[in-house]
Amino acid sequence: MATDSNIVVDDGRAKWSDLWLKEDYWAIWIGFLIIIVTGLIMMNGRDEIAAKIEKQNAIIAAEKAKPFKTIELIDAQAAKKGITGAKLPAAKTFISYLGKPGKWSGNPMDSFISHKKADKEPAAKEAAEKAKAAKAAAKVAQDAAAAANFQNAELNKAAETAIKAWQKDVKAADKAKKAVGKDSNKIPGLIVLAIGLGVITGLGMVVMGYNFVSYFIGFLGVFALACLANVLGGYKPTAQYGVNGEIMAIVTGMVIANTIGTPKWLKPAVQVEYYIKTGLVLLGAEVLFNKILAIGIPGIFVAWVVTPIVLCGTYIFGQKVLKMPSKTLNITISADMSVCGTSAAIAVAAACRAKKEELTLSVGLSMVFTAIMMVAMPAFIKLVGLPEVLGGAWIGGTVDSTGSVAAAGAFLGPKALQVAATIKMIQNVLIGVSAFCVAIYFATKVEKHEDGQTVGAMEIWNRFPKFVLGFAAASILLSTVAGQIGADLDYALINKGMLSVTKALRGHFFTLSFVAIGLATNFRELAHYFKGGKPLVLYVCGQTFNLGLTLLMAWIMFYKVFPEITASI
Amino acid sequence: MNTASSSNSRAKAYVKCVAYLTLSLGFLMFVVPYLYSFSPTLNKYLKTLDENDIHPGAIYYSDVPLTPESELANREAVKRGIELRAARIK
Repeated sequence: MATDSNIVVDDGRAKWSDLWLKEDYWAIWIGFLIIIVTGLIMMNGRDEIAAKIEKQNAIIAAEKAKPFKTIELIDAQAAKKGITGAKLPAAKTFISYLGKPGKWSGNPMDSFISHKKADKEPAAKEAAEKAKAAKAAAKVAQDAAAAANFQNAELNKAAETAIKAWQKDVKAADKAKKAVGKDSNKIPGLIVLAIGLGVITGLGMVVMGYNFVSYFIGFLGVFALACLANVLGGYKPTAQYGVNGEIMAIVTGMVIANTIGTPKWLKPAVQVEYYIKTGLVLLGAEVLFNKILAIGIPGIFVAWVVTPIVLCGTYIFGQKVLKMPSKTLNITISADMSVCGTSAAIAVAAACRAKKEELTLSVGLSMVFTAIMMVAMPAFIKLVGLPEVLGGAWIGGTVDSTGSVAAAGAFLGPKALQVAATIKMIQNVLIGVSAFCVAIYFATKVEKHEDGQTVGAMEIWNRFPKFVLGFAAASILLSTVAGQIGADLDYALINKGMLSVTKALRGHFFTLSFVAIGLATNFRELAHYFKGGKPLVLYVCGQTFNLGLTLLMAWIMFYKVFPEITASI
Repeated sequence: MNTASSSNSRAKAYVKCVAYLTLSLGFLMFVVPYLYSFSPTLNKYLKTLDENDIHPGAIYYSDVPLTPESELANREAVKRGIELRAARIK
């Protein structure tokens, strides 16, 4: 095993025993265990879900022939949207144990235990009754239009107006119902999850030569700190500025490590690489290649052509001009800034074996600039009067974190939100390719022999971070299945089914890894990386290049080459 | 003497820990909202986040609830756009 706890170093030739002795492979086994179990649950309920979808599709097809959106069409579309794999009994039970502490504003215990707000129930009841009455009125208007065989323009218009009014009341009723909330207690689920994950990951640790009991006890402590971090990250007033559980995990871990010191009993479970790699294999399941066509060729150009140019350009700038001392820090910051923020930083840092401090620095830099850009960009776009779609594409391609992109897009307008969120989603998919290419590049070009000899194929295999294969395999597997089963089942079984499980566990593993990073980070070592301000200069220069190129490409693709798509948004 | 000084330094370490955490959280919970309160634009921005239930800290597209709807809407727009282009070419 590694002697330098900062990075994992492959200490020799590949052996068959690596399959059960190396944490890369354990990350793959654990990740795929989760993916396969979840997949079996979904496939077991496939026929039932397919039948329900078919029923709604038949209604939708019949109703689409009518000149306006009828009540039956809207009801069928809503019913179809509600058919999800997450509602299958086995999936529902599984998911009930995966929740993390939620948002809160007054009492931190609200993040674990929530109660129905009885005082909001009368308003919710009133809103529901209003929506019911509006539906009845819409039905009367629609029936009148139907009686005239939908040939009377005035009756059709009256029906459309009544239906729109009904939809408005439905939205208000949904909002009022959401405000009531429901009774829930996440503590039992979290306890079961902590024990479950502790046992599964502990099994891997035992086989790799560690002591199960000391690891398990340490794991419970790290998990408790991760829960604390999620509580701190869920505090609504600070969450609005982009502070999340991952960031609070690093802060909490670092404060403990640099003041009272990481307790001895926690140390066996401070396994950064193990948690990150397992989280990344699960993230691979969310990297679905069919997403890249979501907004057509304009989206591909903005997200998949500009991004690699910016990534490579920034890295070369960092090496040739700034002369960054650390290539791994350079590529991590470049990926964080050009691809999609924290998730890209995690994937690329693991792929190139960056140090923990380098990942921390990269995520910290990104967070600061994201908090500024998510407010400044929409304000600037409004000031100069850029069109909403162009503004949305610009935001989607440049603001780092996905949540901040949605926030900035929403502030600009509904079209901007729609475009921004989709562009960022397409960029998210690029994580897989980025991590793979970075891993290959570092294994072949960067980690050269001391004697300068070129690296042979076997040596490349020895150095290649194996978890990337699991990440890629999960992505290819789920993308293939999504492509085979069709859009409706993809939405129901994968997007709203499997991914409900994998993303929850991915979130837990990432928070665990960030706690571990914090617990293993020394302030002085972190400060060392700031010297000369090169990381900051790299980020600013790279982001400036990104802003210019993305805006130009978005304008060309959305307004010159494909204006029809833009007009249809 | 050694025990007394080591327990002293331990106590100082705990105080430092609590102080750092309090300062970081205090900055985020009080200073930043105070600064935001000066700008109507920023307040409007926070209201938009609340209305759309968006968490700016979400790190992947699957963590943002609005993404599937946005994706569907864009796919429809692409279909319509292609039909429009085909009609123009004809």
